[in-house]
Amino acid sequence: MSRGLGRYIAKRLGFAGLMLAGVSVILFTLMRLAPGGPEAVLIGGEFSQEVAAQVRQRLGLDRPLPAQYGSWVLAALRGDLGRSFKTGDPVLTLILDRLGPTLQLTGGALVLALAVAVPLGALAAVRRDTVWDTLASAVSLFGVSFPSFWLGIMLILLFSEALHLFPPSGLSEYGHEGDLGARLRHAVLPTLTLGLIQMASFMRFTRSSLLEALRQDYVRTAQAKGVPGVRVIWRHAFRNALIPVVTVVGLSLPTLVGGAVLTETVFAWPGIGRLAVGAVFERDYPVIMGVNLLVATVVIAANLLTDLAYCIIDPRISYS
Amino acid sequence: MVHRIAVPLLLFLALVVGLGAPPDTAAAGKDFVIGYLGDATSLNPVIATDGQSYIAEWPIFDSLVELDEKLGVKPLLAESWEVSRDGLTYTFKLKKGVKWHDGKPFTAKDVAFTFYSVLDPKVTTPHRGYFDALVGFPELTNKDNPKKPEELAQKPIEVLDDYAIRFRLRYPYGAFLAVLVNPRAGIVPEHVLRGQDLNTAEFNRKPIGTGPFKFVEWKRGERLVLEANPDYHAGRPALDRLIYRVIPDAVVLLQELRAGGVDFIERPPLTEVGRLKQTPGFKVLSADNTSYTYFGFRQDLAPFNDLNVRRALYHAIDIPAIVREVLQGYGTVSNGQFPPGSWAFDPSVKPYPYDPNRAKALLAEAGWKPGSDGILTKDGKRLSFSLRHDQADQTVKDTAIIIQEFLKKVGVEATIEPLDWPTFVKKLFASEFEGIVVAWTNFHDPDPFAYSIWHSGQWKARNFAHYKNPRADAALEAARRTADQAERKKHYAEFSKILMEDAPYVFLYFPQQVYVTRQTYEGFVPVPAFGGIYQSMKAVRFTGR
Amino acid sequence: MSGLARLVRSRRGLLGGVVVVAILTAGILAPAVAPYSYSSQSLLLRLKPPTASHWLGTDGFGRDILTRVVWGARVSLEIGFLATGLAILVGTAVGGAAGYFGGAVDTAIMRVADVFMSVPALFLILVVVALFGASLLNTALVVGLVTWAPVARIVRGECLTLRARDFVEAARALGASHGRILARHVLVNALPAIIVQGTLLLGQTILIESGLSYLGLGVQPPTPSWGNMVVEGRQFLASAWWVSTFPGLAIFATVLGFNLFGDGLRDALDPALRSGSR
Repeated sequence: MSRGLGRYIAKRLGFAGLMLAGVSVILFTLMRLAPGGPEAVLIGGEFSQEVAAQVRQRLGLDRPLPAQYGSWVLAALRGDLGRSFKTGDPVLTLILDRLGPTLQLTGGALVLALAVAVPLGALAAVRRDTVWDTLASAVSLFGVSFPSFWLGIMLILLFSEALHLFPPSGLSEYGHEGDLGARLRHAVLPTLTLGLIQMASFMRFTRSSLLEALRQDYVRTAQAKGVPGVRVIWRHAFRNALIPVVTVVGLSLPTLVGGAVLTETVFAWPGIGRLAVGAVFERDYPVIMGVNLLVATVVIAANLLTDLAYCIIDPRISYS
Repeated sequence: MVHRIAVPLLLFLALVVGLGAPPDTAAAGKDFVIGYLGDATSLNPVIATDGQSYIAEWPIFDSLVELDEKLGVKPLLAESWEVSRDGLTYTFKLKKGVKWHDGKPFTAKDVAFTFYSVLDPKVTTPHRGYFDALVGFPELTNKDNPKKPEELAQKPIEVLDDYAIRFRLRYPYGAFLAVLVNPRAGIVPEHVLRGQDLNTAEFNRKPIGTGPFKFVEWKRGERLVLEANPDYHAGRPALDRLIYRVIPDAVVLLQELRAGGVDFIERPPLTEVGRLKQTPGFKVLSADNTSYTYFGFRQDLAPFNDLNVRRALYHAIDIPAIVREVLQGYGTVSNGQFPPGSWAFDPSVKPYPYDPNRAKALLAEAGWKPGSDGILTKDGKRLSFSLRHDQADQTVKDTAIIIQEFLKKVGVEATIEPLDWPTFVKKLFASEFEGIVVAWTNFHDPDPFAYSIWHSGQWKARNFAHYKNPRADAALEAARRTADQAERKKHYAEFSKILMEDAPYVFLYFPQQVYVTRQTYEGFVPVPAFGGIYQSMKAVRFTGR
Repeated sequence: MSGLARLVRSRRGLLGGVVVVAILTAGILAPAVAPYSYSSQSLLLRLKPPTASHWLGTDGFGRDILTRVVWGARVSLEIGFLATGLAILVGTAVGGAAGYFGGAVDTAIMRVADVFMSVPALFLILVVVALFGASLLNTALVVGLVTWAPVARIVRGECLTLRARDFVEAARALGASHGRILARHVLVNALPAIIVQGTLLLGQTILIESGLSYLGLGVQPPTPSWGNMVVEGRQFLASAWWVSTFPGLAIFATVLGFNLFGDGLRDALDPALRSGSR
């Protein structure tokens, strides 16, 4: 089994390399097709064609496209993701600076979501058609029907403006960066915004997949044989119900790194999502390519991990 | 079973409430927190050219002179100056004892270095055009074969001694003093930047100036921190720190102000400003500005090449209503290129008044007849065009929507096409558009904008609407070649009349700059030019406890 | 008991169904039913609260909000159906092929899907909008492009399970071609899952569009979409809450309705599937 596993992983990694290359080419082409360039933002209101040409030349944008892509790839292979057109900072530094806040936000939201959703979803499935089920289902239904930025705005209105409990935006107070309490306070509303919606979605998923698992023949058989209820649920149904849950978590991993753009914009949270969106609007090509490489890597890794997780959870599934 | 859920839930709630103590406001004190909508790109006045960079670097650098409330100039780093009779020589005596933030003394060498850098074609900066009048300008700025200042027979900038400097012009340029003000003409230190590539220097992220505030730190996209310069030549500022926070959402910015997270905000949603005025603890600061918003179109494209059509479009739009409703009164109706606060402004030039019937009559005169769907047609073509604008500018967006509606009432169809800024700018300067709604930043002196927007030789520059009128050209050229303000005023008056006759744009309005801050801060001076209020940060003081 | 009867008897299905029908009616009948034109402004009547002549009040340009909410239903549904249709079409074809054929085909297809999913949705959208402009059609296309991959994964999952079933073996033994089996047997049995997915997707696309409007992309004014109405009204939240709230409620109610209906569908169709294929 381990040899097969080893071969499988190696094959997947090989594919991964190809896919990263593919993604980067597609993105590179798309970005160049979009009209306008970074000079518009760099020059701002005093724009003139002359200065624009100068800027483009200085940034190397007048070279032929394959040459530009080639140098980017060569540098990337060495670990050099170039420098932002807008700020001149190394792209890697920009990403790493924002990785912390991003993970804090999305990681916190994920933990919150899972911690609440899985038990509640399971509860709803097990106690199907009781008050608990209806309540949990209603709450989760509401949660997935809400636009996330709207939720954020409402939370700010309520907890920040009306109740003055939490600050409306930002990462921390100046001069108090080390203050854990302040940082936590700033993180509450954004984490809630992101987490509540994820929680609702995970809850629905857990409930429905656990219901599905509970209906399976082998569960009924075990129950008929007299195996205690809880053991049946835990050992058989739950483990199988985890598979779709793992899928859903896997699908949400790109957000984990790509950042939650809407939430970050509402709360002025200095995360990767905002960095990336800003870069597209400003045609900051190195940042766009760099962030995408990172996100693509994470997605591919996540898919590999989830597929491996399937194998562990359900030995019946084999990898081809 | 119940307590399995209730207990963690209660714990969670306790945590939430426990953490939710009222935020300790680092603000509302001698640390002044400024909320701004976007981050600066660079803190070097020689190369920084976007509005956000201007307002960030203004307190760090001094210029030779600064603007006063009437848009005249008063001394700053230059104590006094003499202008020769023929208007071709400016000699400045500089203030003594001024120190850079790193302690080194400020001398005339720094001034010369700064402006030679602006002229250096290797430095990417659009400020260069403002110094066109300097002797040797064409030779020094020649892209292929630039000369060095030493190689010129007559030097445009000459250091006379440590505290005296002389500028030589090749033609009498009345706007010369106006050009030497911040934010475009901050002086940078020669001893730091000598030999470096200004485009990429580390200095751009860690600047050293002679201004009232020193640079402390810059967390990109998050905050910029400046602290008071205790050795400032005009006296230490009353505030301890200036902290710029980046908050890209105008509504959240407002919420932060109310929540105490910032003390000062720019460009608030104007509909909320009325309520804020009445809220105790806040005050609204407004000042005129030089920028104007217009509804423009390609002069050489049908249907805009017909004077009657252009005038009809002007009559079709109720501009005072727009100023009232979109700007909430924070603006004035425009009558052309010059803001009401400028000396070149001519009140006798009147914009075409709102008169939809006259609009319809003019269009009928021009041969347009109503089609089956209510839109005018002529020779089988409908009077329909695209209206492009920058999608990120809310005020312009609203204005475009209102214009569209007014035009519909007279049978003209405008399709709104919001574009993102890089796309929009590209198409604008490539003259790829039909109708546009744009704001010009403009300048506090009529030159150079009036020339570069309206002169027929500038089609590749800012005259992307392709306006052409030899009489206007003549007036503009005459105004440039004299230093006598009264003369210039005459020529510009002539120019303004011609412009309104031709109606190349529907000149809409001059929006004011609007800021909201706390009652406990005093000392703001609303200079009516771009970002003018940031000039007075050195005078702002906290009057609270 | 038939699936339809089961659907009607389930409370969620019924409630959701009612909402869905109401929205559909509003959308289809918008031009006839709306009291005003959705773009006609009245600068003197800006930001008026709900009154007899304007049941839901007026917005920042004096336009009637009820009219725009009703028209917004039409726009949202157009985008929703177009995008969902595209996502379902592409997702089913791709996922079906992957799940049914398995092996190398599966791997190849899923890798391509992975590449697609690796390019962050928002980038794709931003670039497409920058290139082609933000119109209703482009928005729908782009949303569809972004949501097909999850559909494919789910369809693939269904097909993987189904292809091992007896009836497929039997059909192969009888000499049926792959295409026939795929279409007539496998996909037909996967249909309930696809339909449910589609219903849920309809709600999702509306949410995505509102998110795009928040960033300034998506449907552009003056065409009313609930998303851009919410965004336009944000600045007036404190003084004129109705401008944002009603379209916001509309989004919420519609998505809720579709989700309820989808749930009801799933409950109704699921047991039927079990008994039907045994």
